[in-house]
Amino acid sequence: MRLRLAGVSLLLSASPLFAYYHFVRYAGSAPPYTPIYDRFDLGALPGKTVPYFISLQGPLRLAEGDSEAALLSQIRAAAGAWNTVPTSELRLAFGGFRDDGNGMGGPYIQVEFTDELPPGVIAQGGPVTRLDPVDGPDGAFTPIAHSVLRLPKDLASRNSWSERLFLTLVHEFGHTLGLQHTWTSSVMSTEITRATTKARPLGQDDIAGVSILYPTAEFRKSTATVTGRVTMNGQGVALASVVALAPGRDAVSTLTAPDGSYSLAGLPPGVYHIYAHPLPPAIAGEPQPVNLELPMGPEGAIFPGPAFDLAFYGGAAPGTPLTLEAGAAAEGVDLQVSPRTSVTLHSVQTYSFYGQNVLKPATVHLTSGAGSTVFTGYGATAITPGFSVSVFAAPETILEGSLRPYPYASGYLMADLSVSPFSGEGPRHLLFRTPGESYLLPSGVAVKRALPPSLESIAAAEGGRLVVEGSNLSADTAIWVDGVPAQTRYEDGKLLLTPPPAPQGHRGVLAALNQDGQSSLFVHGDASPLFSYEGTVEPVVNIEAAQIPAGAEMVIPVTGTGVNFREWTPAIGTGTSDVAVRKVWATGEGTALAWLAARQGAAPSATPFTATVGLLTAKLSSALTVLPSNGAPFLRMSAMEGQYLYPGAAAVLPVASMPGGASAGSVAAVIGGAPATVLQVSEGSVTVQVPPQLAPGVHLLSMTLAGVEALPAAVEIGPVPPLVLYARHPDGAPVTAASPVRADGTLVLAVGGLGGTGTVAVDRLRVVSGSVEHTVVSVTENSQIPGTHLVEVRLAEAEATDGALGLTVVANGIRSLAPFLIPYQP
Amino acid sequence: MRPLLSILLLAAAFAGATTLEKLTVEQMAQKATAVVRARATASTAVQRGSMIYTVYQLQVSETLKGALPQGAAEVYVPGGTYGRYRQSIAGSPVLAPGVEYVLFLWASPRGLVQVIGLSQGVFEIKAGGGQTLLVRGKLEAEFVDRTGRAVEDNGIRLSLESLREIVARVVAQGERQ
Repeated sequence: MRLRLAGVSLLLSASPLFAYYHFVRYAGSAPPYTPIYDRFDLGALPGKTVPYFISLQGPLRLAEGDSEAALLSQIRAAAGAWNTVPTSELRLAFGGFRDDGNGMGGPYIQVEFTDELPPGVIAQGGPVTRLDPVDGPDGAFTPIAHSVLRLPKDLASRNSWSERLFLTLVHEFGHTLGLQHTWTSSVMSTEITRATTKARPLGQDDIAGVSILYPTAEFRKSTATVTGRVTMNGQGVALASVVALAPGRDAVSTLTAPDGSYSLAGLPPGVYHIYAHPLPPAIAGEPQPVNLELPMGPEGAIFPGPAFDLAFYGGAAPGTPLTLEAGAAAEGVDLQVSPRTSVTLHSVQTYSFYGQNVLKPATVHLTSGAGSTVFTGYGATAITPGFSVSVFAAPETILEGSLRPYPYASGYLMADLSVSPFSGEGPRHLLFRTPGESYLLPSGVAVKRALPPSLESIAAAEGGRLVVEGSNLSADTAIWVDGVPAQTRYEDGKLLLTPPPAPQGHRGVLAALNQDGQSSLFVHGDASPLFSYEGTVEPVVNIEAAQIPAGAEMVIPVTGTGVNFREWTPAIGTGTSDVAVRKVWATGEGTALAWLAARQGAAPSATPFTATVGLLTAKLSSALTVLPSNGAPFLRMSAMEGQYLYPGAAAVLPVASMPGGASAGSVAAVIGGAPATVLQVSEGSVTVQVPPQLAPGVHLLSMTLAGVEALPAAVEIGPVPPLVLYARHPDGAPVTAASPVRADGTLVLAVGGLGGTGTVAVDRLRVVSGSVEHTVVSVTENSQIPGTHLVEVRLAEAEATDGALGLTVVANGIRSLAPFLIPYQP
Repeated sequence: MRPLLSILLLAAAFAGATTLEKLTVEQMAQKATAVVRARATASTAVQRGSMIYTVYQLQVSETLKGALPQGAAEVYVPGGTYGRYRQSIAGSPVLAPGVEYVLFLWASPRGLVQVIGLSQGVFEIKAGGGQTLLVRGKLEAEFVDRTGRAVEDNGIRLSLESLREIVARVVAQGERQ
């Protein structure tokens, strides 16, 4: 048995990650098997954001008291769940209402309510992909042209605010992004074993899955990978599920390639048990076994290998644990499995109860000392001889003699799990056994320290706000009105909240979501409290009709009444995947600027804008017209990200389609209504001085270049950053190579840009060297240079480069633009 | 005391690439706009809105319910390959050429004829014990019952004659209502 733990460099040079519960094809029919994934082409998505459009086409039949606004807000929130993955580049944005993709060139997701789902089908989703792969920076892939998420028009039996509808929407959006099912209790698991909740919708497996498709640079650095092979009698086993299981944490899994090889990526640092289990049995007469879109090779679909016994890496359960560090790769984690005739123990679902409400998965609270878990599944419907259940790799136990039939429904069993106040929070994994067969259910029980939040009283307060009281509420509790989080402040055990804007008369359902994954829906269920927007002012958002040439960027003004944009910044949809809204800045209570970016090959079109603010989504009468590329100059705002501008700074403005003959004398620029001095004009850029009198904020930028007006643009102006002018020893002697500062020594920095005169509070300032934080001892006015300050700093131990240490001053979160280098002796 | 009601209240609405509500044969017979005995003779793919469908041409030998034309009909199954694009819908049935089936079909308000419950409404015809049997294997798709409770499927095996009786009874009940 060969096991090697390799460092970052090995990992980075390893073969592509091919963990999958993705949609996969293989170009060859022999090892090495390199997966070709179905995924969106990030290069084709401005801002790496895929728009989703909603098609309503006629009225919906909703549950009593429910509304279209509430349902739409839940759809937006479900899509937004995928935007919270920090190691995935892909983002989703509501693009507006649209019934089809005709005339659009960019990829998109179509969410449609349809009356074409036949009886017995409740939801459908999946990507439509090109057959021919294209090459990308991470290897070949098959680009998703568009994805479809279909829901029935009749939702009368499903409350829009429910945990399950929300998780279904998150799940279906996962399919649209290129994720398939997984068997490790994540949101991409089926309802049977899913263990995520509305307050914590994604499991680690979901995070790994989407990050493999759309990885940030940080993904591989911050997670570990395990590779190996699953074999039976020396032959590789295809489509075996390989799982990394850490006590008290979510599981992460993958499926093997046709030769049994696997790469299990996206594991947060920790100690893992690795095991392999067979997929649920193949289905007689079913074209697509195990509810999985099978991987395709040159010879057609690749089917799962034969059934086998659950097997751990390193021997019998719990096997040999692996300690994995960030960026590390454990190679040669091979598993030899033994054949069995069939798989009969699998797909167990667990429940517990909170009052009359069902919690799924079973949830046990530490304060209770023990909790009952009800379960059922294939092979787990009766206490047959030798049947047992235990908690895997955890101190908690199933109380002896507590395994019994559930008395109120046949086919269900129950058992009691003991916990102690010293048990930690987190998932517990259940190991089921029958004679000769074992099955592990990751996250079969959730252990929680506190009870779920509940909402016991809601009272109106000044300014349209609400005071919410209840139990298990804290400063970390989020209160949602339907699918939109309210703005909350926690005071004296109460939550003071400002509900999101909504259509007049709207009735919103309130839910409290805690960071431990529990919500007040656990307590109140269908009877969750309502808030009625009677007597409120309905917000109105206006956008003038606009035109944008293909390939261009520009800003458009947005105005509104009845809503404060600074608190509730509107989201704008352009109605086409060819024009993305990169950002919306609130510039005043009723004004905002929206930054649009059109794809290079955008087809001419005209589509109405959509504006969303809080719970209100409105299709506007004004339209965005996409013009053919017409050579109009425009500021490439996307190329300015990373450039920090402040009053008085020189701003390098990258200009596309610069007219010939443009020079400093023929270019005029106005920022925020103030003329900006043009410093230089060169090919492709104009350098101006940001007007010194400009207040920090986002300002409209207009330019005229050799008589040609550029498309309107915007620039973000920040406060003047700190600037270190010089450094001295406390005795006034200069810091030099011959007289360096030492670790634990003290020095004085003369710093400008801290604002005004007078003493500056020490806690406003930080001085850092990379991740090393130095101690600011005092800040005083510098009498020698008016407007600057002297900052006394005690240095921490830090690593010098070529005998110098870089010091960055951070004032109110604004960093000095470049480190100030001082001679330093560690 | 935990009442049974608590479990039945599980609103296990929908999930999965395709999520299905489990239907009995009686329910399928009731909801079907047509129940036919047929063989698939050919298939092609079409794009309809955002969806790609595989369209099977059917040679209908018997109509147990409804009014599909005797002799030829089409059934749309979601997913397939159209032009340079492919759409995959897990759980969609594949009708093998030449194999005889009983299909529970449903026509949408706009006339799109599909199999009820994806693969639930596909029964293969086999001979056994001197009678014509309808066999549907155990489906692994995710099922919930009418109350939303997750349930498993054990497959169905019944005789063609029994199905005729079920369909006749359901049709008669429908006419009485």
